[in-house]
Amino acid sequence: MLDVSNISYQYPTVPVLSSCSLSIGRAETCLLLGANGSGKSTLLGLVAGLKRPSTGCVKIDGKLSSHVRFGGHELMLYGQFTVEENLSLFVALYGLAPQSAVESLELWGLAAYRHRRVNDLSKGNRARVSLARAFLGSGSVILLDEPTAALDDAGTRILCGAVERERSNGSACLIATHDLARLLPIATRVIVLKDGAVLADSRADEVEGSAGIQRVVEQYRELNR
Amino acid sequence: MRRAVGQFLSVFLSMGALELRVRETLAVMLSLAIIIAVVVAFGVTTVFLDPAGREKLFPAAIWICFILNAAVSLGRSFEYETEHRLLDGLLLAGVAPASIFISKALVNFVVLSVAHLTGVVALGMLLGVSIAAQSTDFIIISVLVVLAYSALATLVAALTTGSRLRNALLPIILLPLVLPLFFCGVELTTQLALGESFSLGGAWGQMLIGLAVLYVGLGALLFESVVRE
Repeated sequence: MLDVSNISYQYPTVPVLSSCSLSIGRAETCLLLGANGSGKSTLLGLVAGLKRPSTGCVKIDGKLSSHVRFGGHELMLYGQFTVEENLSLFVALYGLAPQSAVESLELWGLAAYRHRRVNDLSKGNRARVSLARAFLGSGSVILLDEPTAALDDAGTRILCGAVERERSNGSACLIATHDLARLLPIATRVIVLKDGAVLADSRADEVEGSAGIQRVVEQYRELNR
Repeated sequence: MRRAVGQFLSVFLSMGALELRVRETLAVMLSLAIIIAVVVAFGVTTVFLDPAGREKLFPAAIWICFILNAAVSLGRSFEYETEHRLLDGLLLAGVAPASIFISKALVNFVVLSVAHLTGVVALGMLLGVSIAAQSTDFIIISVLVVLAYSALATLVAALTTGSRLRNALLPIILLPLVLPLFFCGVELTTQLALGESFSLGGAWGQMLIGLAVLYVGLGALLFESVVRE
C-alpha cells in the first residue's frame, strides 16, 4: 500500500534521511520510533508530499501522487475560526455531508467547545481538533506525528479507537511517537529510525524477540518509569 | 471539476471571512490611504497652486498613494493562514495550489480595491480634481492594475512568509517588480485626465493587459513551488 523507496532528504546544511526504504501494507498500524532528530517527522512530511525528497520516491497503491491523511505538530487550521467552522471547512473540502462535522465533534469530545476559537482552546483540545481534521478525509494512508503528545488518557483512548476503526477498514497508519506505552497495544508493527535510516523493523507482537527494537523499547520503558 | 470548484469557493469564502473577522489589513489600508492622500495633497497644493497643475499631477498621485499603501499593508498577507500551517492542511485536503493562490489573490484584490477607491476619493476631494466623467474607463484601468498587483503581491507574500525580514523584504522585492504596472496606470490615467482618447488597444493598454495575464498566470503556476518545501 505505502512504499518508500531509497528516500533521502537534507535541510540546507544537515542531511536528515539517507536512502530510507520501508513498506507498509493494508490494515497495518506501524509505530515509528527513534530519538529526536532521527528523521521521523521529515519522513512523514515526505510521505505526505509536503516536502520533496532529494532522491527516491513515495508510492501509495502504486501511484506517485495520492492524498494521505496527516496529523502533525501543526494544527493546519484557522486559529481565528471556531472549532465547528474549521471542521465544517474541511468537511466541505473533502466533499462530505455537513453532518460529518457534527459527528466528528462528538466523536472527539469537542461538542462543548464547538463555538470556541481554536486559538482560545487548551493545547490538548487543539490537538483533538487537529486529529479530528486529520481523520475526516478518505485517504487510505494515515500519518500521525506524535499524536499523543498533548492528549490526556481520554483523548488517547479516542485516538486509539479511531486508529483501530481505520485499520479494520483496511487503512494503513504510520505513527511517529515516543509514547510507546500508550500506543504499542494498537500497533501491528514497530520500526526504529536512527540517523535517517531504518535500524530495526519488527512485528509488534515480536518486539520482545527483536534485539534492535528490544533495546529501543527498553530505553522508552526506562524513560517512562 | 465540480469538486474543484466547490473547494475553490470554500477556500475563497473562508479567506474572505477571515479578512472580515480580523479586519487588520483593511483597517491599516484605509487608514494609510487617507493619511498618504492628505500628505500628498498637502505637498501638491503647496507646490502647484494652480488647478491645472494639480489636475496634471493627479494621476501620478493616485498611483503613488496606491503603491505605497499596498506595499506596506500586504506585509501581513498570509500571516493567519500560516499561523498553524493551514496551507498544508488545504494541500493535504486535495485543494489545488492554484485555487489557494487565486482565492488569496482575489481577497487581496477586494481589499486593495476598497483602499484604492478610498485613496482616489480622498485625493480628489483634497485636490479639487474629479475624474467622475471618465469613471467607467478609470474603473477598467484600476481593476487591471489592482488585479495584477494583487496577484504579484500574493505570490511574493507567500515567498517571504516565514522570513524574519518579511516586512522589509516584501516591499524591497515587490516595488521594482510593479514599476511597469505603475507606469501603465499613470500613463492611462493621465490620458483620461487630460481628455485624450482612451483605448486599451494602445501600447500602454496592451502592456497592462499583458502584465495582468502574466502576473496572474505566473502566480498560479509558481505558487505550488513556493508553498511546498
